[in-house]
Amino acid sequence: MAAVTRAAAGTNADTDAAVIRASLADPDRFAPIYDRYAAMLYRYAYQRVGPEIADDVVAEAFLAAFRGRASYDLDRQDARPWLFGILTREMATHQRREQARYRAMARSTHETVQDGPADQVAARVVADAARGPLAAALAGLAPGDRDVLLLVAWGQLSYDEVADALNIPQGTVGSRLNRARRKVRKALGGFDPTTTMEENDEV
Amino acid sequence: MRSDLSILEEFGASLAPVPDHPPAEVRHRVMNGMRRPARRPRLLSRLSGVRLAWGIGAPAVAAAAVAAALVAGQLADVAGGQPAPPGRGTNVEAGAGAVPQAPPGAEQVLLLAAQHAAATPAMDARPNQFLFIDSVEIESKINSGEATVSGPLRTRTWLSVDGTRDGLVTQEAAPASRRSPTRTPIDGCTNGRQAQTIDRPATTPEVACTPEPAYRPGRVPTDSAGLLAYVYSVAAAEPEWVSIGAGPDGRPSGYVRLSADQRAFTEIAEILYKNHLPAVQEAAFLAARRIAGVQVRRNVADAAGRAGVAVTRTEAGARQELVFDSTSYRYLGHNIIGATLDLAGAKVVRSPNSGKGTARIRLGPNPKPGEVIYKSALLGIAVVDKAGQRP
Repeated sequence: MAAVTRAAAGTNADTDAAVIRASLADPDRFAPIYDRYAAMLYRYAYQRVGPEIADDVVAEAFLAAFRGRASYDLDRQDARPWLFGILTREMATHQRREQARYRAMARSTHETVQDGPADQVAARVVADAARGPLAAALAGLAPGDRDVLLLVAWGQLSYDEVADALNIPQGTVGSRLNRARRKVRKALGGFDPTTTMEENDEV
Repeated sequence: MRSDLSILEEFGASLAPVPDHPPAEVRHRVMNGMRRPARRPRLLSRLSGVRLAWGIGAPAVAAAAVAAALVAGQLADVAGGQPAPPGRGTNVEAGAGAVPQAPPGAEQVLLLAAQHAAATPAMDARPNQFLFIDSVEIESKINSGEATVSGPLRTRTWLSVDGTRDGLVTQEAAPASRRSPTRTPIDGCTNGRQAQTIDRPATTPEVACTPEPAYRPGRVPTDSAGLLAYVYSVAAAEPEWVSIGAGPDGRPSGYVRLSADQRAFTEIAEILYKNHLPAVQEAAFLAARRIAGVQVRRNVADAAGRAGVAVTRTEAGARQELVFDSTSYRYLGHNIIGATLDLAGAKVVRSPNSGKGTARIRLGPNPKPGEVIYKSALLGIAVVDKAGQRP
């Protein structure tokens, strides 16, 4: 038995699955999973729930992942969708805070001060113009729709990976995403994204 | 062309944190949390303790007398909590040769142990003092699928009498290793705050807590009905799953959830370690009698090599043993021994519910029946003024 385990671990020493398998017997070996994905998860949590609780949410997500590592499907070499799924569940308890945050952004959009290198500021002009309507749209989405939309747009997950992360069929991913995007487009409403972009190019 | 998605992406970028990595504190928290079982610090839950040597004298006589009462069919007397007069013990001894007597069963052993605890005088202990627990431990560890047994290792523990002060555990290393003893600080529950991981006070944030006194009444009830309800409430709130061996790929092939009875029984072993107040120990023994499925087992050795009689409960490939001296019924210690894994009627799940509770995971083969998984034996207890001070 031990020989088989070692052999299997030897061939895939670097995959997430191999790390998680090793961590089943030796919990300390779970650490590389944190080191690989902490920045990615932190960024996503920070974007959604804000700086005040991003630390907590990320720490709790990793601990939940650690506790649930026995249920990880070791056939999946890449743990990213699994971790985003766990993070999504952790953030679900902070839905009200997240919505309030978007609503506040929608209200305060004109007071936003942009500073930093000029090119970066310029690159954000489009986003700034859209900021208020986008924030308002995000606040108004159904939680399940928002999860799908933001996993795609901010988490950079593919449809397959979103389906994996949220444990829903791919068809559901598609329908939720379409619904969410319709609302976002409607919120962007008055201005044409294409036109705005061209204006931005001239800046 | 800019799609709504890419605008949303840019909006997201404007919300992103400036240092891309979470603060170092988050990593500390996760790493420490990983070492900490959800239920209790492993360090504490593994240790267990027993009654001290000085208590043997008078209680031994009482225990013998209780045995006599049991044999004579006077259980009601005993259950009422009245220790029989010491004289009766000798009467029975005289008659023992003539009438073969059935040795006491599990319930009776626990009753005798409760009587011993009740007859043990409480030590004087001020809230700011420490309970010193002198013990030895044996533990099996799995390395690359092979079990190795370490110990017995001398283990000394100092726990705050009222639970509010910082304690300490030291464990000597195996002589062959030539290592110095490990020293583990135990964070007390001071002003209602305690390190999240109590054996890592320096690196884990503080959380709200309720003090767990080591030698005072506290969270654990001192009456048997209350204590029984308490251990079952813990069993319900903090379930435990056990892996049932590994498949050919080395991953656990499934898990079974321990029954509430088994969890309650192991929780009693933990209480016996954590609070040495005679009233708590008495209540714990009496409560254990009410747990379905307890059995008696003779000629059991504790971690110090002392033979005794054990009250056991077996489930999921492990036999939990509370070991007692077979004449005085003093509690000697706690053993966990490998047992046949009987899955008949058991509900095996592919993965434990990770929402709450803990899972004990073991890669490779399960321990063989009779193999030592863990043993802890108490050598003595005392009250001292400072953590680290020997009596």
